[in-house]
Amino acid sequence: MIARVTPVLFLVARKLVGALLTLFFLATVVFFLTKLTPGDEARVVAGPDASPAEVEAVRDRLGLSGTLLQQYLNYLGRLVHGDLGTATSSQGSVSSAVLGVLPGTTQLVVVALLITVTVAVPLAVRSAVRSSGAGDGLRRVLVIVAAGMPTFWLAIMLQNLIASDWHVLPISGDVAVGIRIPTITGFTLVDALLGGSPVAFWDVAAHLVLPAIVLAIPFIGQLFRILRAELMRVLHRDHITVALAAGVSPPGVLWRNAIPQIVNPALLILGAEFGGMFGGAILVESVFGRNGLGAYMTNALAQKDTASVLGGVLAVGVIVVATSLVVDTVQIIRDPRVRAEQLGARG
Amino acid sequence: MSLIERARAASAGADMPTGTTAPAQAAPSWRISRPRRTRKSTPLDIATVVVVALIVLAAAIGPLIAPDVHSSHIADALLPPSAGHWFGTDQQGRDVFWRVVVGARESLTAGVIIVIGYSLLGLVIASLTIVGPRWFRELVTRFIDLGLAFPSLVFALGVAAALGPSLATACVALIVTGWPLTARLLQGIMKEVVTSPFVEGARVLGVSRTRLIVRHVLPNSLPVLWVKWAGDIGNTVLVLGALSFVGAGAQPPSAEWGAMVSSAQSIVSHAWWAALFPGLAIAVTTAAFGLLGDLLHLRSNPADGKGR
Amino acid sequence: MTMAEQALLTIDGLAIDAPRPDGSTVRLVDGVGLAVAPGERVALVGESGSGKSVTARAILGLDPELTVTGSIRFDGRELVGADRKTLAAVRGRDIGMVFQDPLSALDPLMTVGDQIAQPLRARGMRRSAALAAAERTLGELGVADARRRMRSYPHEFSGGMRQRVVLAMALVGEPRLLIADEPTTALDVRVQAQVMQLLTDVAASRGLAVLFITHDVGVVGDLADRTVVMYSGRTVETAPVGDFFRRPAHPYTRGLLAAVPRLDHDDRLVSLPGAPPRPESRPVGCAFADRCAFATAVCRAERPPLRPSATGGEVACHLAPETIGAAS
Repeated sequence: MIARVTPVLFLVARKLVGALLTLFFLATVVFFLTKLTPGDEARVVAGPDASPAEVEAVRDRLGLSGTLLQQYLNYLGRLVHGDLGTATSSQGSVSSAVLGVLPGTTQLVVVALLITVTVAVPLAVRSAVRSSGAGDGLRRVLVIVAAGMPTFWLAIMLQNLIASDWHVLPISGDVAVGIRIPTITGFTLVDALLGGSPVAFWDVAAHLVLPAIVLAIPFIGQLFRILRAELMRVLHRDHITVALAAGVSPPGVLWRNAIPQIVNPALLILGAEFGGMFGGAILVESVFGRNGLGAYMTNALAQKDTASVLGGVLAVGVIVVATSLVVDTVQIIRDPRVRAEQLGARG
Repeated sequence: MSLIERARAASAGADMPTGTTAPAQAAPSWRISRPRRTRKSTPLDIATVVVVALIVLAAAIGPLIAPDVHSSHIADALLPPSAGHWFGTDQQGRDVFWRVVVGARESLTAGVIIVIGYSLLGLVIASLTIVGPRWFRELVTRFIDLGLAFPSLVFALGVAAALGPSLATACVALIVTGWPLTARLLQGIMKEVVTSPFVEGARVLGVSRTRLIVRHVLPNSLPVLWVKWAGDIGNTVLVLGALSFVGAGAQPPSAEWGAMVSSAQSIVSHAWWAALFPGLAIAVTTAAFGLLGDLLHLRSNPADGKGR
Repeated sequence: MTMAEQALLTIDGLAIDAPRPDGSTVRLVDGVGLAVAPGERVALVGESGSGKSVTARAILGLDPELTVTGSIRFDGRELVGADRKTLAAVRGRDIGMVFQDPLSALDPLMTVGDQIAQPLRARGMRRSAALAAAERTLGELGVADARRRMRSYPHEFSGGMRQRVVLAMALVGEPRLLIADEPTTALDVRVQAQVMQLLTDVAASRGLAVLFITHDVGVVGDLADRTVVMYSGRTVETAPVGDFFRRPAHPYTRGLLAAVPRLDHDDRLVSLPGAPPRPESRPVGCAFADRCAFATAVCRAERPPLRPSATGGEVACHLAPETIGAAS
């Protein structure tokens, strides 16, 4: 029926439903978290001098009145409209605040991802082709050590070193004082370019270097290890031998027969790392004094602004789910076997 | 020989006269066969085990043998490393070395609790992938996929905000976000077990799923789980440290390593030791447990060692 | 009696060692020799673990981690230890190779046409010309509407069709020798018959020499002119195919043939007791001695050399032809 007419759309729609259900589940969990906060939020917002009537009015406004079920439905309703609630401290809209800080973090994550790919992929290819032999033990150790590096600590140490000994790169902030960047897209790198100021562009970039590298390190280790293992598995497959027996040169076999096989796993991992990097970005922003979702959430935490923190959690949830959806869709489009497998016998 | 004769030969299974091999002993539970070969221990292996043992030792007896690490001696504040204070002192005058040693217990016990917690949770959820109608099983699988992608750090911040930041709430948060990897692993094994011919036969006889899980899935999973747990403890210590660092985990004046790094952040330019050593403790612990897991893996899969 | 001078392929004293994780080596092939004349079809027969596949793969140097000693000469050129250029010149052009599992032998992300064209493109032929040649070869193998089918992907094809694709890939470079490593094992019986017929026809029409590796004795009768039997990494017998079936010289060969059930007899299935020795513990003497009904002390002490047999081939057995012939 539908599946035969447009298999791609059908599969993507199925993934979409799964994604929405997961978001729904996440929202429910977050709702229960808000209910667990001790204290009466309405009273806190209304202020210590408010009359009971005023407090009730605030309670209604915040959607905190009524039974649990009513509150839940009210909450879901607001979420669908993109309303993430009100910040306890500033009374501002959490949604607009989150949207304001999101580009900064996203930019950092994207740059870190680029660094990860640029470093990990060539290393993984080289390492898989050489395979065996000396350096095996060393490589194992290096990868595990890199994966276990507390990035926040590394960041602090690096900052310290650079500040005191090597004055090469800026160690904190997003941009030097005095440089103005127009707000066009919200992504400062892009805006600097669009605004026509190369100086601003390089400044923003310079401020991104250290944080992005620090953020990328554990992910480089992870990507390297998995790509290498995958590539080695592929290199042992029969069709590689067949291509070699057919006279294709070894480099040709590597680039045309082997590496295309690992693009899909690579995309999967990158998609997952994209989400994971948002977690790492929280640490990195904190250490490097950058603006972004991480700083927003940690500040909110310190001020006991539960609504803002949870709004951030939901925002990240949406990003993760959306990324996962995109990666799945790309896979479905790229690999005819994935389509066949998912449509056909499963389970 | 004609085609018909060959066809008959094929169906009779008489391929090559290799003689009979003794039938495998009927095992009490079905095992996924893995090659068994041992691997020689390298110096690195020994070093890894020693370091892990030291860390566990510190966790076990550290607080018992350490001098007082909680009260302040402002007079001794910010002393660099010396014979009297191997890691120097922090801004409260407390000996950093002993605080690091004492901190091991908090991190390690929390780590163990968290790993046990999410392993159990992962087992339960993985079990859901083999019960119920197909759409349900697919939903659970999808759920696991997405759970894998969600950053635990972010969620932990949320939990900390809701329940008030402390080491305990961090544990809760990490258990709630840590199950996907275990679930994915167990799901794979369960699928392998459930579709094996041996088990299908047992199912026809009416063996319940619980029995299947207990008698077949668990024994087959244990080797892989040990490896995972070793690495996980290290990783959990790392994430706990990160959480404490941003204020969502253990709070100062706790001797938890992340909290120590956090307090030392402001003074790092003139007292680098107060931030270096706790962070180094995290890095070393994570690396050591990670290498331990790797080492356990190589012991039962030496073939992987060649191509690593 | 050997056609060494005119032989297309000559293997002599081949030994292949594999490295082990602990650093030692294990000898997979322990002194093997065979020859294939132009247009001749030779079946290399043996059970799993006899070393026949490893031998075949060594001709094209496909396993660089193995240590190969001895001589493999193709058309006068020495292939053991040859440099990359020599190997590249031979692969896909003078020698084509077909492997066991057609599905895993094909790249799932490349169209069938592009894959068949690979050997030609590797030599610099333009894509259009290579695809045209691929189309011709597929047609020769009996594939209708080849041009359209070349645009499909391997997983869309049946097993028999895939094997045709793999065969086309081996043949498109106009080789003089085709090495087929158990090409029918992964196929079901009906398709096996088709593929065997295909191979026979193509070999005949092109005058190809074929080295055919198999553990299925039944398949030998269809295609081979001559058979070479391997056991535990060693050659134990060579014979023209008729003699192989009617007058096997080596006890192992007799055991092989006795184990195959026949439609015209109703005997019980015979099988040889025991199993081949593991490569690490290959005996000093005859490798088959432990399972041989006729083994003597000499057999266990000394490895039998390959000598001319009574039937015109060669056999490596201390006791042939005396005891064997009498006790049939």
